[in-house]
Amino acid sequence: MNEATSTVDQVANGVPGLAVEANHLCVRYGPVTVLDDISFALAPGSVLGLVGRNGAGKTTLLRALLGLLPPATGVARLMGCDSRQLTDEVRVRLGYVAQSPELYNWLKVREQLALFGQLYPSWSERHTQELSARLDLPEDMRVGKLSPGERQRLAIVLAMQHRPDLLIFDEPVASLDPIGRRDFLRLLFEHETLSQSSATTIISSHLLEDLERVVTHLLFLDAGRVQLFGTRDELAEHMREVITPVLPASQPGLLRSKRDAEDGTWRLVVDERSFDVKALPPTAMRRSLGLSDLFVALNG
Amino acid sequence: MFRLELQPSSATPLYRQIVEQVTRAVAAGALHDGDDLPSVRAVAQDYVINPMTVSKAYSLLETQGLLERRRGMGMRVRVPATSGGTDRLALLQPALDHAARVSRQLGISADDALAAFQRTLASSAPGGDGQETPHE
Repeated sequence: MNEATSTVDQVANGVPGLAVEANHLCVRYGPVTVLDDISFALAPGSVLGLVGRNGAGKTTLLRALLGLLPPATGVARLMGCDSRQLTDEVRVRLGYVAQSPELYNWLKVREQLALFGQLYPSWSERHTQELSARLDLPEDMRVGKLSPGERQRLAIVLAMQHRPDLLIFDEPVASLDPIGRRDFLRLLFEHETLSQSSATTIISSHLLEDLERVVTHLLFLDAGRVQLFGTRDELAEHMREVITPVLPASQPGLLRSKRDAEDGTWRLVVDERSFDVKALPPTAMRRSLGLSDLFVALNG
Repeated sequence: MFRLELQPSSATPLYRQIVEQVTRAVAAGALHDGDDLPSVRAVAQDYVINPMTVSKAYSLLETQGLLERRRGMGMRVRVPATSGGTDRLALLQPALDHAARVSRQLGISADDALAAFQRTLASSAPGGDGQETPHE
């Protein structure tokens, strides 16, 4: 096969072997563009943290990836399959926790789990019981009587019980206490998949201290656009905050600049791989950033 | 027992924290040749971090020759006896050269100088025998 045909194939059918792929994805609500030219790709086994301020488009992006919202232009693919036409084969390998999951309040927890679980050929009641026990879920309680935290844990078990290879969580831990959040993270690492290899996971969350424990990749979304995408480690090693009295000329690697209203200094976020530090005055200070600091530096 | 002190919120990536702490523990003698390190899974569950991060750190340490992967049984510390020993002695040599020069200049006998060095070694050992002291 020559290179030209493989490129044509990749545009038409996606890059083989990728778990998740967005290619110039745009979503519009009427005249409003809510996702603007989103492109990124994840290899199987990656754990992506999707972060951004409220209204940045995180939920919309997750829904577009899952094919629940049609793109205006561009394409999303899950396990090589166009999100607009997911095959049953791909669907059984997906697990999704929506921000406000729809649950049947009149059922008992175990009934709700079995009702949904039995739709999947791979489902086993025993595995579901193990998951419920690990998340401390009261199996005999009516769903309508559950606390918000318990409803969230039920939604997590619903998404994981059929051993999907791709897990998508929209704010999965917002109502969980710190213990519940740790239980959830540990469960993620032990998650058994149908394919026996590590699941690919996407988690949108504001709880950055949880994300930094688990993610391999981060995507910062800002007003419907990708502000920053990369592996957790490369972002930690190459992103720096710079405080400088003078704003350098616009150049590659200068991701953001903001003037401090009080002392008039400039606060920059730079990617040291492409930013030319010689453009900075000698009085400029540089510091490395943890995830929370990076989030604030990019969005504050 | 060797314990990692991991800070997920630090700007230093977790895998680097693991590599640095194991390397330092080996250099400091807190980890010895043949010691077992907990498995990838155990570290991941203990510290609630991604197993891939632990795996990446262990692989790097393996490449550096400090760890040896044991089939299904976690990792074992390998201290390259010769190179590790000479490296550290080589680091000590300049201080010894200096001390030897000063003792000669002051006319101190070799026996007195050795005895003084032994007393110095004894008084500077914190726990007496290099055992790790428990701390919060």
